[in-house]
Amino acid sequence: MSDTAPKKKILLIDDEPFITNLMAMNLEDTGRFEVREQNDSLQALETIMDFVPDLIVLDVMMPDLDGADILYRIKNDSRLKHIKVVFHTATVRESDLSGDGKLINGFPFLPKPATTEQMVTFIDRHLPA
Amino acid sequence: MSDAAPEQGNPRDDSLRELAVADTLTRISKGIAHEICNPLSQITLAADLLGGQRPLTDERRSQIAKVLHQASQRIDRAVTQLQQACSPLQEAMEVLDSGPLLQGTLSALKLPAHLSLEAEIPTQGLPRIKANAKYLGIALRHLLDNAIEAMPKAGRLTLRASTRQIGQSQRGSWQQSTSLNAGDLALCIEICDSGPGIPTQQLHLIFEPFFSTKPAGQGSGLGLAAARKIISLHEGQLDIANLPQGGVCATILLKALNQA
Repeated sequence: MSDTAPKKKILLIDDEPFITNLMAMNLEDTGRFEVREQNDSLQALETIMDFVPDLIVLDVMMPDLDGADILYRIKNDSRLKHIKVVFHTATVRESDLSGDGKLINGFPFLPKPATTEQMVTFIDRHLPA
Repeated sequence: MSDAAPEQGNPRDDSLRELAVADTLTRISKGIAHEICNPLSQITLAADLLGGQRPLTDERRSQIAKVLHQASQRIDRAVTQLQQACSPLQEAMEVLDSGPLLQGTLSALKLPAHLSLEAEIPTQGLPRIKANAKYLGIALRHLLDNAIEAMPKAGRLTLRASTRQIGQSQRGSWQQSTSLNAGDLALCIEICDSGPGIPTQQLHLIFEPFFSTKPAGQGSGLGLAAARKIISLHEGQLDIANLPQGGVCATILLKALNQA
């Protein structure tokens, strides 16, 4: 990827501000991503519409709206349903899942904790071309 | 079933019980994963920043230190509270005057500035109880923390103690470990908040380990489980209910040894 390539927009939705903050710093340090954080699940859809990310990294267990609620709303909104969504969660392990072991309801997931290198590889694999 | 027939469990009931246990264990394991893997995630990402190519500014170094401390405290709290919720009481019970015990709890209380306090702890007349002061103190601390955290903006914390006689109708749905019976005198400790209350559909979950309605990192979901475990080891009763006027009240009943 050249230095002049436009940065991909990543939205982190997680109620843990320490995690999104560190993840944002690490991702931005690669020089390849523009990152926004949202720690309030009730504000998630508004942020998605405002930021229009290329990919959303979504936590599962959150107060008010959990990851599944937010995913449902994204996929039922014609303005948002094209946006790629992946899960990043502490509550599901790869060993919990059958099949290819890396999907939650058909959506890719990366278990916590993950290194920045693992996160970047995961994002690259699932970012739209 | 005739009187002579051997007692057998209803297979359907047994299956439902097994499903309920499996459901609870699943929730607990997810809770453990949540309370341990999230701070582990913080540590991993902080290590990446420390080992990264970018020079560390003072601001970033200080931020990383804060994150690491918070992660460490969170794991420590989860482990400590899990032990309190699951392990037997190791230390001996002794006969204690409940008045000084509760006055000590009250004077150690650090009330946030945005809250007011209503304390009704008689200096005389409260009964003696058989208790472990350290563990009972931990249970009270969990309940007080819970009440304080339920009122992040403003509110009133109430700590009240009295002697109460157990009524005929009270005993029915209590924990099996409770030694209180109708007619017994009990020390009654009430810790109430004026927060938003607990949604009715979640009331049955509040004593389950790792159940929490607090924001991330603020509650491990083990405080109430630990408090109930401690009160149950004192053969007392802990109940938590929404108040009609709003807020939540935790009520502890412990058998009185005498009427002072």
